[in-house]
Amino acid sequence: MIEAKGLSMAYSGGKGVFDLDFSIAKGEAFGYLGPNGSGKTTTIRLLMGFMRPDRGACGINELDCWKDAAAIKRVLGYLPGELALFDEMTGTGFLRFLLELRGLRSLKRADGLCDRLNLDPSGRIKRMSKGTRQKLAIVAAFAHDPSVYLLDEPTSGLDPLMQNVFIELVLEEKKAGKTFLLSSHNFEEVDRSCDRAAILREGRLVAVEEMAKLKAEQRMSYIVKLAVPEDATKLRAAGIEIVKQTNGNVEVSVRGDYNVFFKALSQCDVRGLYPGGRDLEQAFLKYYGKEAL
Amino acid sequence: MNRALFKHDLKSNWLLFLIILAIMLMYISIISLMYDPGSVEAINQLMAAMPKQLVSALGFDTIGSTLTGFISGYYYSFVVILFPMIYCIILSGRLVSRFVDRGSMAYLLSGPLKRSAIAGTQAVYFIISLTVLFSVNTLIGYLICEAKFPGLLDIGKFLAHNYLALFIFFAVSGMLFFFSCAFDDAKLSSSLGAGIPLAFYVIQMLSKVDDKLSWLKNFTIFTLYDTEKIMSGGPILVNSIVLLGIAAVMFTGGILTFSRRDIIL
Repeated sequence: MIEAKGLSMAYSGGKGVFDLDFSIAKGEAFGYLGPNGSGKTTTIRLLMGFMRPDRGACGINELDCWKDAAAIKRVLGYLPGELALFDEMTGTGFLRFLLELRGLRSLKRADGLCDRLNLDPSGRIKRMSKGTRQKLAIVAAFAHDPSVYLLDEPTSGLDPLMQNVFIELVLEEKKAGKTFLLSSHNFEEVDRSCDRAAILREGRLVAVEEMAKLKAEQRMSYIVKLAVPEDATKLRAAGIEIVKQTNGNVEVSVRGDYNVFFKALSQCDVRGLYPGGRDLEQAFLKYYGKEAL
Repeated sequence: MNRALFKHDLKSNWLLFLIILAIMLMYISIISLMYDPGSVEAINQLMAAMPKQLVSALGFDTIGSTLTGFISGYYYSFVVILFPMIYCIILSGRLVSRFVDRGSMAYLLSGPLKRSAIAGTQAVYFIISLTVLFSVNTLIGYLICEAKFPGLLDIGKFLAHNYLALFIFFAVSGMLFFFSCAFDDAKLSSSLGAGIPLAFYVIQMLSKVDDKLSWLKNFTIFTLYDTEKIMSGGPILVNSIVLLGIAAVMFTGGILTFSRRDIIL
């Protein structure tokens, strides 16, 4: 459905993507994870046919992304990473314009999407907030009922409630047999919507794995607030990695086995439990390596 | 050619079109109404009393003694160059490079349109809007002259002024369109797009000031807009063909470049 073979393209500054190989099946949601500047957007630009690869090729539905760009887009929904909507239009005018470019007229599906995302598209885009624009971009990507989606950081700027609505949408579409490539630097969002994910680092794929496997590798950091600071030794004794301790505040790193963690916690007098730093570098230490930090 | 995009072009550029058209119509009405057959008669009598060689040497036999010549001298050698040029400079940026520079080209390219269809639609809009601009201008100019001075206007020559001017701007707009298509950076394309026609314009003015500078006329496209040749009834077929050729090459080149280059969005 979506395929990259030895896909390479370098910008003049030396950045770019190099030798990407992946293949996404029909009906699959594929996460594309990587920190900023790792090449996620570049990959999507190549899949959109905005640029010609230096080497290798990529294709969607057996068509070449550069040569057959126009034909591919008949069934493609795209959400750009950097939103540049038509500021002078209203949201409704914008959605109608995009549908008309495709020779479509009905706003029925778009209206339904707006309702679900709690979006009023009647105002001028210029006056919309960042979150509202993002919702509009989501509606624009889904409105023509495409069968393949390329979404570049689709939930940036959305509040958690709307992120949930978005994930529901993705899951529904997946059930209907739609294919997704969803780039993100948020592991949780990818975890909830995707079956597999690729991890990108400095333009190269460092892993293409099932979500379950990636999850086992994922480190989560929590801050445990202990009534008795000495209880930290109980955690350590249970094999929990302690990253930092300031009196009663203990920052721990948990990988995979939560039962061990909770059993150890039950031995302690816990006053609070907070999520710690959870950025991608930390979550995928294994893939990024020490030098990435 | 895509109808939705064409409609969008119309919606976002009609004001610019109206402003330029209004300025041009204002000028052609003022200039044609300024013409006074009575005073031209007086000038003609004065000329008849003078030695013929002197009149020719001074070049008075080419300057507007007739209504057509009067309009040719005052309107077509200045207003008709300057304002459509401004129109072309502004519109060329708004049709292509602005979308790329702002990033909204990503949305135009997200649909099932070939790049050549997008650039082609913009080229067609450019050409049609110029044609309408000049047609309205020609028609209104003709009506004013006929209303005020029935039968005085040499219609053949008047039309020739207009369509040759239109061809000049097909060629100029083709060049600007090409720059607009060729570069990612709107600053680069708009400075080339504004700089080159303005340079042509300045070179043309300099070449007329002094005989010593008349060689400069070989370096400006506006030389092909030869109003004197039209007034003397000379053939302008070659000029027309050259201009249409330049336009065809530049528009095609713009569309091809846009279709084949990497666009970073």
